[in-house]
Amino acid sequence: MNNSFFGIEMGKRGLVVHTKRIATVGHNLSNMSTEGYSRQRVEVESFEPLYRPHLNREERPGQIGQGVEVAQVRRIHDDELERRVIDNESGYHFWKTRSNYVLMLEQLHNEPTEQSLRFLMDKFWDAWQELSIYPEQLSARQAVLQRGKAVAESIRIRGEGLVQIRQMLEDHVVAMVQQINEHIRDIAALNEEIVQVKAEGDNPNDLLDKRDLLVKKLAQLIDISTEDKDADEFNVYSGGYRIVQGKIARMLKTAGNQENDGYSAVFWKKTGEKFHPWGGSLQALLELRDKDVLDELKNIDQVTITLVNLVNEIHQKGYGLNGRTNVAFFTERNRVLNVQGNYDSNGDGIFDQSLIFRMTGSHRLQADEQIGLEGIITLEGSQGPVTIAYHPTDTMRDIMQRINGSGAEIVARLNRDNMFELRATPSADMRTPDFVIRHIEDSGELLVGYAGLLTQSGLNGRYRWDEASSALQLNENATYGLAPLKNPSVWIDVNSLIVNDSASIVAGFVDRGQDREAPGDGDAALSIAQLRNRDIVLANNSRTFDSYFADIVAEIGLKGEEADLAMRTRELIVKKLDDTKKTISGVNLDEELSNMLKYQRAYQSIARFITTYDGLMDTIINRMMG
Amino acid sequence: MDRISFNLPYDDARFYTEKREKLLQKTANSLASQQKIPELRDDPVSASHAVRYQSVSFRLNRFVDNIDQIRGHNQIAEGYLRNSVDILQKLRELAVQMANGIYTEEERKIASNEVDQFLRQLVENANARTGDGTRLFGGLQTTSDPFRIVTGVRATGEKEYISTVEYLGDQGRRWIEVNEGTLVAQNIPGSELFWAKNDRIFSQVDASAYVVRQRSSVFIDGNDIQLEPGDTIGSIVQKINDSPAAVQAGIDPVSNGLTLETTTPHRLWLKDEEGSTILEDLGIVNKIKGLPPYNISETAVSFSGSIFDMIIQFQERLINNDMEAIGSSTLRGVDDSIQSLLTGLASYGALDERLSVLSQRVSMNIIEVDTLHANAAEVDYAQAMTQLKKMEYAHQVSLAVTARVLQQSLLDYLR
Repeated sequence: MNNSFFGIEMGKRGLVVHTKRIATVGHNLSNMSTEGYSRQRVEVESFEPLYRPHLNREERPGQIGQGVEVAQVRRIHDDELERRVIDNESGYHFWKTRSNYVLMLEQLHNEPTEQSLRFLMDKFWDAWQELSIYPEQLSARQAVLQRGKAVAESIRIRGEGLVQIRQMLEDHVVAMVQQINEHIRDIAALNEEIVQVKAEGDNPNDLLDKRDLLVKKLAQLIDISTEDKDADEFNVYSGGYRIVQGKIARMLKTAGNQENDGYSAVFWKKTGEKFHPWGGSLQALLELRDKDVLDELKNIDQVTITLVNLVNEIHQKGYGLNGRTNVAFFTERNRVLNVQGNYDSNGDGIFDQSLIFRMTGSHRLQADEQIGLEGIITLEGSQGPVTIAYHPTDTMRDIMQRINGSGAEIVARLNRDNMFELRATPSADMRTPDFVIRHIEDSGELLVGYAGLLTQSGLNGRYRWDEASSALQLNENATYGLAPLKNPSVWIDVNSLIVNDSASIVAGFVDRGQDREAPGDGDAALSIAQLRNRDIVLANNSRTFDSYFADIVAEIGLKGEEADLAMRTRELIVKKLDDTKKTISGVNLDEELSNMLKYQRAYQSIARFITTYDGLMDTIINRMMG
Repeated sequence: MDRISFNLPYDDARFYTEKREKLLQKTANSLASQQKIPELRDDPVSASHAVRYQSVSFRLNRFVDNIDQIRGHNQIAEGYLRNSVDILQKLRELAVQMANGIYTEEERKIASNEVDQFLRQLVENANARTGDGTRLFGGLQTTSDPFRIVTGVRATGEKEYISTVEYLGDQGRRWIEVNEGTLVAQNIPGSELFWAKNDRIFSQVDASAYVVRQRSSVFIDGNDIQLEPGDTIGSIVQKINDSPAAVQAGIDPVSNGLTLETTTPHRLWLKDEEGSTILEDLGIVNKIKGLPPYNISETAVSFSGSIFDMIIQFQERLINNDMEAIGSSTLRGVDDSIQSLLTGLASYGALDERLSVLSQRVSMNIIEVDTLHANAAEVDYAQAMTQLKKMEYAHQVSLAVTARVLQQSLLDYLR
């Protein structure tokens, strides 16, 4: 008691502390609905009492308390729970993003309604049926023309729709990478400030809340983990690499990839190495863009080019009402205008590639005849060469099935004249073009003398796409077709010759029994109508046009179902974690108000105490000694 | 939850309300559009089935239409054929009459005019059209008359007479799909219907030493017959006989030439394919003479007998007063003609019966497929309405409860 103002000092301490407490209650109440806010408490402890053991202490019984002081201002927050939240956020957002975009893909199909591409194709085939019964009529041809245009348009809508979705994904990727960069920049800045505040001995509660929120937002975009064992350095890891190290932010950048139609790939800005996200929205976007949507596009492209080829093959052999023959029904646009399919890929003025889509042998074969030859055919698949062996007891049908199932990105069949035909499919590797035959080699005579496709067996007679004028390697009587312009599903259209004169639509073949046209011949129209159920290997191993459409509906529907289910599961998990966090860190109105009452009362009491103590002083000062 | 924070009830309410609202909207849409599957993900497998059923149903309806079209078309054809049989019956009576010695040459000459009229009528029947102007009996040559009357003037200087009736149609048959992968030939070409006798061709060219030099093919009655280098006349005959063509090939014992005879009455249709000269070499056809069936070589001996030929012969004999021949070969010719037409009628009848049964079956199929489709893709009103009501009620309850919970706090009680 060495100080007259002892009591007032104590009172002052009390008032100040309780004012702080009430202020913090006010802070909590103001931030009740702030995202990521953890309620704060002013923790108080009793002030150092008199006297601590030392030499110049008063020789009186102690210790006498000196009031209250603030120990620390703490936020009520569970770090472990926070880590669990981060873990689950990326999984949830991965599936959420995926679910949204897959929904877009589902809607593009417009199934199972009558506005779908499939139904328009049904009507297209139906129009040919009608023409096969009334081959002399122009009106039946008009119907074929209109429905053909409708199918072409519907395919274009699908193709363009997919390209647009890819572009949307691309834009989203670029924007997201920028968002990621912003977040990690902000986290690094916060890290610096937090370290400084801590150094002062304070608790940077609000800053920590902000940082937690940013980290959570980042976790939604990419899969991350945090580490703050070292108090001076808060680390964020992604994919095994450090993305934030204390105040250093390792940024990302995007750069267009020529092989992927110019779409961006993500790199580390400093090292230029590729960045591989493990989870979160970004990974969902990249996967969707470069796999799911691209696969759909390749599928519809293959269906389109097969449709165009098969219809044209028949159509060109027939004659129209106006006697014209060799007219294609669908336009065929080729990648290069050069007759041999030569292309200069590196722009140095010299042809270095042959872009050929289809080649047909010159001999008529029988599907079920035993070939009596032995050898190995070498083709090329997405992962390198693919070999197919054939034996004397094999039939052409067996060999063609073997080729179609070998993964060689090529499809084999016997065309209408029973000649052996090879067609290229879309390629899985971005570096090799779609619909281009890459490698054909035969160690025996099957493709050489039997089918009449190549000129020699072995290496000397092999066909390669990465050489110019490779078409000359083929048998002189073999025919070939050039590679189509990119994305057939985007440019498919009915031949303008047909649009201008529907009388050019064929119904019958040039009859082989006599040299004149028969107006009542509807065989060509019938053949085209029957294409819908012909066994033709399409995308996804679907065997006919009809089964392709049914299969694709199931496939995309299942993808959607999977994404939706996964998202909902994780959504609930995230919600539960969030709820738990709210339980711990959330502000409870009643709690805060009751506390405020408490502090208010305390404040009032201390004020009362000060008044009383002041009264004592007053007595000494004013009342003693007259 | 040991401790409820301020935000929790609000957030919870919003979370669940959102979900319920989405489901409500989906159900309402489903009812409005009659679709059980608003989004493919809601039932991918059913959607896939529904898609198939829809396409199949559409196709089956087309088949029913096709069948109706064929039957309608053939009914018209049958009408004309029946009329033709009637005409031939009348001609038969006339032949029997005129074969009797009672009648004079004059009377026979007068009868020949009657025959002329009947003949013209027959030709008109053979050139009959359907409602849209296409010819019934020309094979696939449907836009022009298949039978053409060629007239000439007799040596005796009388008026114009019909010397022959040419067939300008073809042998083609129109194939129409009446069920999945099932094709049916709609018509019978005139070269078969209106034929009375088997066609026969006897080549006078000695073929005993003939050998095929290169791979080629010949066209006989619509059938492609492939011949390999090294084939002798024996193998050629064998291949022709083994083929589906209704033709019997043989070797004439006298001339050693190839002989061809049809096994049912119809016009024999022969052609060398591109690059082949086999039939020409064997003295059967001569390309210069024209298109089939008028390309038979002048060196070969050929017999052909259409119904019109029989009638023209009848007329000829009436004018020549050849009573004997009228009573024998003409009568036979007319009988054969009637037989041919009746066979044709029987074919049409049989086809119609088959199609009638098929039509019923396909119609049943359509009903079945449509039912399957409805089950897979169409909304069950009772179920959907019930669900809608349930959700609406739940929605109301949760909103009411939320409002109540959110009302109370200490704030309300502090002075």
